[in-house]
Amino acid sequence: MRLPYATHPLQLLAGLSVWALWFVVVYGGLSVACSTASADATAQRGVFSGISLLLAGLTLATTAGLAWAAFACARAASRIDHAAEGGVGLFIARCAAALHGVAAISTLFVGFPLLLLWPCI
Amino acid sequence: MSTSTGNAATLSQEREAQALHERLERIWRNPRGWGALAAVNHSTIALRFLVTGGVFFLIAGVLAMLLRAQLALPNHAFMGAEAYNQAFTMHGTMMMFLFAVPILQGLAAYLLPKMLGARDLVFPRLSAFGYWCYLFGGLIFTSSLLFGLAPNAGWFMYTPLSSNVYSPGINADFWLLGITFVEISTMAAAIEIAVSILRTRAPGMALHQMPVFAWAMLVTSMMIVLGFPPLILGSMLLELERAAGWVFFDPTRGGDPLLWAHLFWLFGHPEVYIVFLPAAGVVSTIVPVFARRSLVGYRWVVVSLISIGFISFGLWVHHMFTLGIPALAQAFFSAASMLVGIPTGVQLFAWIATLWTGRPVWRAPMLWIGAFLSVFVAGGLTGVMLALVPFNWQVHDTHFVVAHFHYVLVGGMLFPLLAGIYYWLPHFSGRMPSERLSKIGFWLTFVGFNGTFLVMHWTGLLGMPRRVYTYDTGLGWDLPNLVSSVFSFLMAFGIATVLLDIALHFRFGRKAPTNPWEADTLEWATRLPPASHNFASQPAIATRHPLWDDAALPQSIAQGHHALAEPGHERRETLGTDPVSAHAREVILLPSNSWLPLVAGLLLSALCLMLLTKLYLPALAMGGIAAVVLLRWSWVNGAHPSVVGSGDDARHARPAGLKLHPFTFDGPGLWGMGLTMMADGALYGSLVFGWFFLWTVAPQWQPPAVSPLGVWALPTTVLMLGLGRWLFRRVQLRLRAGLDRQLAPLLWSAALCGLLASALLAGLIATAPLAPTRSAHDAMIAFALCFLLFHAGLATVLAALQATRVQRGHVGAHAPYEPGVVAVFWSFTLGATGVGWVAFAFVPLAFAR
Amino acid sequence: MLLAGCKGSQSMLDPAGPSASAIAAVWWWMFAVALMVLAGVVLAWFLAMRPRAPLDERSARRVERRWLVGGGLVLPTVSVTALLVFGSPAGFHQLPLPGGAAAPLRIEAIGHQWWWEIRYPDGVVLRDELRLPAGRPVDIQTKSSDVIHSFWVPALGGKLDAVPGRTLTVRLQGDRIGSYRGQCAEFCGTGHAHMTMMAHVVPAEAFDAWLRAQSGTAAEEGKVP
Repeated sequence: MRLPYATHPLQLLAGLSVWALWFVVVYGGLSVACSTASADATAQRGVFSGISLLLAGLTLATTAGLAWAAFACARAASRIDHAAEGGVGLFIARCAAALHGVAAISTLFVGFPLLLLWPCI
Repeated sequence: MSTSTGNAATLSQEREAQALHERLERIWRNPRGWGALAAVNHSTIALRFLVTGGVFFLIAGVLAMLLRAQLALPNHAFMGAEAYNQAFTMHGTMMMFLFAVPILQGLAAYLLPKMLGARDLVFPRLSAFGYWCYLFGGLIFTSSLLFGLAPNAGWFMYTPLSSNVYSPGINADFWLLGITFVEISTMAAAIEIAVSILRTRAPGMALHQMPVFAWAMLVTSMMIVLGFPPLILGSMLLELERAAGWVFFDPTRGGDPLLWAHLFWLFGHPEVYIVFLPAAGVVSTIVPVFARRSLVGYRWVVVSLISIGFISFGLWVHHMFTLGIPALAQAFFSAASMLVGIPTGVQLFAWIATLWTGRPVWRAPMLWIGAFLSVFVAGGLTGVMLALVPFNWQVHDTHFVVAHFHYVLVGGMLFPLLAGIYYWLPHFSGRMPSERLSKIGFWLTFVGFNGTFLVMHWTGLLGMPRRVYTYDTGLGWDLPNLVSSVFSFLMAFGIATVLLDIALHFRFGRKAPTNPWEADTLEWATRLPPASHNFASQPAIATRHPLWDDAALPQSIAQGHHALAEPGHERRETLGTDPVSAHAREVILLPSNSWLPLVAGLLLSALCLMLLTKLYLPALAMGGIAAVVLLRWSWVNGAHPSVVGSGDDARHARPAGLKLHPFTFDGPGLWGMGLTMMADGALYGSLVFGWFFLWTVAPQWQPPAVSPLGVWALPTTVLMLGLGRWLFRRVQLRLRAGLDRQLAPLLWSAALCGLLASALLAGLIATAPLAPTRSAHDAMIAFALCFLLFHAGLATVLAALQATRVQRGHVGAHAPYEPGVVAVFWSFTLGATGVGWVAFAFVPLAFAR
Repeated sequence: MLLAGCKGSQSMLDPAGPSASAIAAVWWWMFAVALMVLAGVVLAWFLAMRPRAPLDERSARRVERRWLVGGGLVLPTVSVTALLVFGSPAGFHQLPLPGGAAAPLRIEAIGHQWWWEIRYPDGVVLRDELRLPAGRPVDIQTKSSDVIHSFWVPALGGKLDAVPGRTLTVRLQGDRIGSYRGQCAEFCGTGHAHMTMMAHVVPAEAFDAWLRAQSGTAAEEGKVP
């Protein structure tokens, strides 16, 4: 699949912006959920309480989306004609692929504690 | 062996180069005598930043010596608690706000136009204004020491300690007002540096040919644009709480001390990367030169810089692990804090790989690079330790943390700065640094630093908290503190030696040849020291290493073989290029020397002092005067004759075949406005965050049964602003079609829409049942309404000014640039009002419990 | 002699309870790994600075890749993942997880400028002093009557701030009989340096007897709420 905008400079910012948005949703969502739920209710089901499952699902979905974007940019980069673009398009596509990858790994790594800790304690 | 004709050719070339240099200098030089205060040239302003930053560093350093003298012995009576608390607060605050960021911005301001092949930064008067705000704000802030009224609540000013209940007196106000004043300089410099990097690079310097230092400063500047506003907002709210009793942080009336902590650290964590990234850029510049090969992993380093820029905004709660945040949330921040070590590590190994595969030589700058490496890595490792929550719970607020952050700040910022200063010393002065004295200064500083701070990790593990003016004997802290204190004096001696070395080299250093370090980047293609205009002609470049590709580039530049070698119409010009590919797009006109920056700086200083001394009515008047001066400044801009020059040929000239920027649709001001609105958005976003934060967790949050905002006032305001914005769109469409008529009526109509919107907001503020001194709920709404009113009012004034400028002929189909800039401000105001309606009126209605 | 230097009644490396012990153990592991990494990096720097014959293009590329991927990506990623996974559980001791065997004793630690008010159930109040039963977990609830303070007894475990408007809870346990110093660890004004306390870990039966005697006295003096 070809990503038509792999050489657009905003691709450099897109991946980590998605990560930032995911972070806000997870931290903010957790805070709002915990302010309405009680600690005992969530402790009953531990890491399998509703809020943890929801956020873990969101984490996996976001990671998958970012990983797809990384591969798409990388594929687009491999198809760029070096001579035609003058180099900067290839540079952007490659860096964008790496940055989407960084964002995917960051989402997974930062979301990983959802498997380890009860919410709201 | 040259023939006589060869000699004559070289001689006449030299004479032509000299004539070109003199013609350009007449246009670009600074005024003499007192007029130098009106200079706007980036090299001059940058050197002022460097020197001023150095002075504040020394004052803050003396304060540190006082702290160490007091802590040398248990129950020492050298300083009492109050003096000590002022000293450590001022030491930290001055180092972070008056030294670290400004001096790095000064270094960037000096280097970037030269590295990018440009003649100056894009907003010269803003550079000068930034310096004056920095100098005057710094002086006002530092003067608090002389009055014994220095801030004494710690550099992060936690509430309620810093509220007027527990810190009566104006100490804290010196911090809130003085530092916010200085932050104007930081914001201005960041916006200017970012726009300059994006729009004034040499033709051919596409994004992948840009020096790593430029990438580092671009990322840093964007971090400043987004990271400082939360603190600016927090400072405004705290000052309002102290001065007017509006509730934001008082938990008994719906506020929360944790709101301050979040706002501060939302700024505070990116701040330390703002301090580190430019230094990393300096290292990435110097290492390849002394390894005599290009930097390994350019793409890896760029990706790392951008990654750090983003990820560092997700770490701030690691300063708050003991404040009772739920454990799972703490774990997110713990993971993110460890994650950020990876892109830092990538850069580190890129440098090592560059040396390993190069042919390294030892010179004075490399000593400091070696010190940076060892010390910063040690600090980074303790940082990863601190990221682990349980360990943090033990060592937070102990001397272990003090040791950690001195390792990363001194190792990661001061040492690269000194490496950079030694490296670029021939550039500032035209003379080479010493090799002998520099080594002595280096070793004294390096040994002194490690002696002071290495044992301090141990002191913290033994349980000594930070910010204590004294301690009891018998806890095992006596010897480590004495060792730290003794070595701190050694370090001070080392710094003094380094300064002496730098001062002496101006007199005794041998003259520097062209490109003395055989570097690759463009700044070494200027004269040493450089002319005010940097380059007699602006070259195009083809790779990342212009001077390695063509060692004769300095000569061909001086002889005028490249662009813009014909200084016509006595005005300052530099090439404007595409932000991605760096194709030349237009010629940017830059203003010449001006007194406006100094006058504006003085007026704002007076305003700051009046607010500090609680003379609020005079302050209001002063604010009005300052606004008039700032608007006057905005008038002498764009296609105004003072910038373009008078006469038709001045306006229609096409140097290098390119249009002048006021006669296009794009120019630096458009980008500057965009970035300013991003900062504004960060500030407003922090306010909206604060609103939802308090709503969710503030202990005594009590929203009223009925929203004080009514039903129709805000939506009507949004409609008015939307109409005004639409009218601006009509103006822009006409300009794009080349039509000149109807512009003024459209703009006046937009101004009228703005006036109605402002009236609606003012009416709402006056009539809504708000009691900001009784509840945080009301105070947040009141603040938001004032923010929106300010923007609606300014939007009205700017629209009216545009209408007037159309009628005076400064704006029209021939000069279509400015309405687009003002339209961006209108878009922001419209968006902010819409978001305000949703956040403050609609969501509470929908989620009322 | 080095280990003797760890001792000190306010040292976190002389633990007297499970939380502090776990954290001290994590510290020593982290210290060892950090020392090795630092030594490795400094050594690599010195070796890199040595003069050598220039490498050809292909070898240079291989060396570069090894440094960037091995050093820049693999080393930090493996290290921090291991740290996060193996180090974080050290903090579980201090979390006041609900649903345990028996509800722990609840003690309030109220921070004032510049002293600690320690309140036991049944109206017993101590000043700058904490008494704990050995071997039993205790929930310390921190509060503040004025500014942010921080409750910290390093020998027992990590600190928890006392924030006005909030009640926060940390679970601490002392296993070793003895007296341990604690100190306010959040700057709270001119008296901050003197806001210390002593935590006495006493045998459990002695503690129960003491509490009963104290609450009897408190009832007599009308302190029971």
